[in-house]
Amino acid sequence: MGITQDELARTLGVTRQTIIAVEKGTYCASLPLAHKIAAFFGESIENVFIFEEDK
Amino acid sequence: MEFKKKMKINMIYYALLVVIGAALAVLQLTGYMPEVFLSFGCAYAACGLAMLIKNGRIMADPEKLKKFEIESTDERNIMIYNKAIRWSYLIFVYAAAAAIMILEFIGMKEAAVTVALTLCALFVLYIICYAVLKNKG
Repeated sequence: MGITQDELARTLGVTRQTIIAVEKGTYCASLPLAHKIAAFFGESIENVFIFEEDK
Repeated sequence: MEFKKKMKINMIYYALLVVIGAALAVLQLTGYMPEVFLSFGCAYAACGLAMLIKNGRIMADPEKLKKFEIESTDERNIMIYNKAIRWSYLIFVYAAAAAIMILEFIGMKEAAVTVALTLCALFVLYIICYAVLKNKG
């Protein structure tokens, strides 16, 4: 999509570290943030995030 | 509420802190308060002043303000902040429990009782906060 983590973070109103942590899977985004990320990419939450029960 | 408005309200609190700190220091220096209030007053005034300067500089620069707003409202930062409080509370409780035993052991009974009472007060406070938060939903 050609967008940097910094641009995405600024658009969503979070820090770049949060975006990195979500990408790495070390931080589980809240439902509102997950919704914002999915809306940003024009996808549904299920298409952007994979739910793993053991996490 | 708009973030800038929140910061303006905080500036009022910091200014109040400076005034209270200065008043405590002056009252101690004029002999109306015990000695310890000079330290408290200076600490309050210094903290308030530092925060006033910091917030003033942030509010003067829109780019800095945006960055500060993101850092202050970022959900992961808030989670880390809450986690740090939880950890420090637990460490404090364990350290205080250890201190009670050590103080008893070395014969400082009064100090041990003081720490134990502080710990009890903390537990009571925890129970009250838990009940309030639970009822809040």
